[in-house]
Amino acid sequence: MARGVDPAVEKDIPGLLSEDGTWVSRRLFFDPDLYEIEKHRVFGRSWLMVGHDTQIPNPGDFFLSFMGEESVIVVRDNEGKIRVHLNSCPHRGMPVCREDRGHARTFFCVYHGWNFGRDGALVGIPNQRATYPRDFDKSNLGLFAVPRVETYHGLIFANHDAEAISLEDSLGDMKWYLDTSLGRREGGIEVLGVQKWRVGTNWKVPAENMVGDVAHAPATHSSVFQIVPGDPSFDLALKSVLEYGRNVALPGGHGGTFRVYPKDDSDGRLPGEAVMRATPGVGEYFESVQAEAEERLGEVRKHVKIATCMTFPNLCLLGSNFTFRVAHPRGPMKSEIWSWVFVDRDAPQTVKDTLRKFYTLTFGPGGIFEQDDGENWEGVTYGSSGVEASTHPFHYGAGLDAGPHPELPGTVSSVYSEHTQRNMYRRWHDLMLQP
Amino acid sequence: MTESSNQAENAAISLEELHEVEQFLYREARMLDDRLFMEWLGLLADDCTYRVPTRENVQAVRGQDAVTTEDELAGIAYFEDDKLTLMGKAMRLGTGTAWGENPPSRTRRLVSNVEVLRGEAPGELLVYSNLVLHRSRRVDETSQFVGQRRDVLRQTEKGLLLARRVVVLDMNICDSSHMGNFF
Repeated sequence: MARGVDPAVEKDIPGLLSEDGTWVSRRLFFDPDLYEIEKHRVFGRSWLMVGHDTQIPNPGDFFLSFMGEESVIVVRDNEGKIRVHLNSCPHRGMPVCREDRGHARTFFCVYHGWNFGRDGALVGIPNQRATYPRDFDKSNLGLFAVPRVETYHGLIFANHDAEAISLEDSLGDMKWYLDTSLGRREGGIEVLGVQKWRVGTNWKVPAENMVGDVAHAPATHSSVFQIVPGDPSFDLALKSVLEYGRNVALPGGHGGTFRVYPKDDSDGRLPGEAVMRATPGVGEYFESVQAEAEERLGEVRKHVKIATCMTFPNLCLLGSNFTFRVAHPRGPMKSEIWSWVFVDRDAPQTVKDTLRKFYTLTFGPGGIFEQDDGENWEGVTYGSSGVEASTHPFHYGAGLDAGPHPELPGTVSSVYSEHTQRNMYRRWHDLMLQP
Repeated sequence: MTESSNQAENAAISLEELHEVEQFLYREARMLDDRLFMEWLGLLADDCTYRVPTRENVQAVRGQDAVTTEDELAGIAYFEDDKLTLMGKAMRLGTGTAWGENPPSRTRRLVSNVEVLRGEAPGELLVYSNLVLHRSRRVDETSQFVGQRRDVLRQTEKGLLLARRVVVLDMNICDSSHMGNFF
């Protein structure tokens, strides 16, 4: 992992955050030197979410994904095990897979014709007998495997660090919260597709937006809350976040905003928003499976719903919009967002269709919320990088009242608190300080 | 509906009909470029459906030469709207606080390659056209959205109405933070 790092940049790293995380240098959001370092120190040793196992139900099914900027093949092998290979031929580096998804018996390099099994093993070299010795050892010329691959509720995570703690240990108390969206039913979730788009912003900006930034909603999304006079659905959604929301910071840099409904509110704790549940068949479906969900989640968690949350470094989930996403880094000032829609696997088709449409209406590049988020995230980036502006750190001082909570794991405060962001940047800083 | 099975009806598309369709598409493009969204909504049938699917790189099947498969277009979309949600989106752009479009982008829609066929239902026309949507935003940001529209236009007493639109974009990844425009 040791890479040549400019000593002058190394020397700057300790001072990028104030001790309590209240002041954060703007260099985090545009500096190419720091970006090169975090490729190794953050993305080289964190659990990165690459997709969902329902995208590859059968042996040979695969899709392409990214770990940081690097293309990886996620494939189910003949034994049903999920493998993650670097998409780079061991011979000359040509990507051996050039499709977004599909089914393959082998991965074929179109440059020299080397051929690799689903498990990554090199199975064939054209003219091998004429070219290499009879006892030529192909076993160390397979596709480079990402050493650690583990799943949680079908979310596939991979880690370049062979010595990393397990995924479940890394998630820690985040699991307690993720279950409230992903673990409601025995059959689990499935994903309905993925949207991909680029935003001119550093990857940390979308992440900090989801880790607990409710404060942006009234200003950024004001237009949405105005459009349907007489239909208070979106308005109610915002009010319930402001009223019932709690910002929670968790070890590992994870965190989020979670709505904790009063014990006597039986409607609020159903998934989704009222506007979505009004579609014929949808509210009835959620009612019909609520007993199963409450049985699985237990007394406390049956009142808890994810508004937004972020699993470090860049996996975000929006509970009521049934979507999770990753902001892949694409240079210090660019991100490529991959956004999946998920539903209970055993839900009827009408429910799946409604949830997909509601997601598409609200998020993704055509979504009525997302469009204005993108505008801000780009503005944050170009607005920060000026010679003078860049010398002034950002203030993350809101909500210094965070503390323990009788029922919720983590450090808890009101929704206007920035302690979840301070927590995220302290985690980032810890990793950056380790060569 | 295949083109060959439809050739008899194709022959029956009159020059007046072709002219009316082209004028409809140009008028619509002008309204959208001029941000006359409420007027544009008046060109939509009440049961209008409107989709802009995502695109994928998938392996061409040997012996099958179509670039786009129905399977691909049935996947997740950037827009999956009906008239009510389009109206909501148009109203949102009019609030003054839809920040991604305020200050507004400057757009120019170029519509070409208009091909008119008889639709499946009586009084409906299946219309293919190509679209280049060029957008300038902020100081120097430009985007281009290039694709094919697959429209169903309905002939009514009020003139043509858009009953269905599928926009087949050519890009694999949307290279813009937002698609705050109609296609």
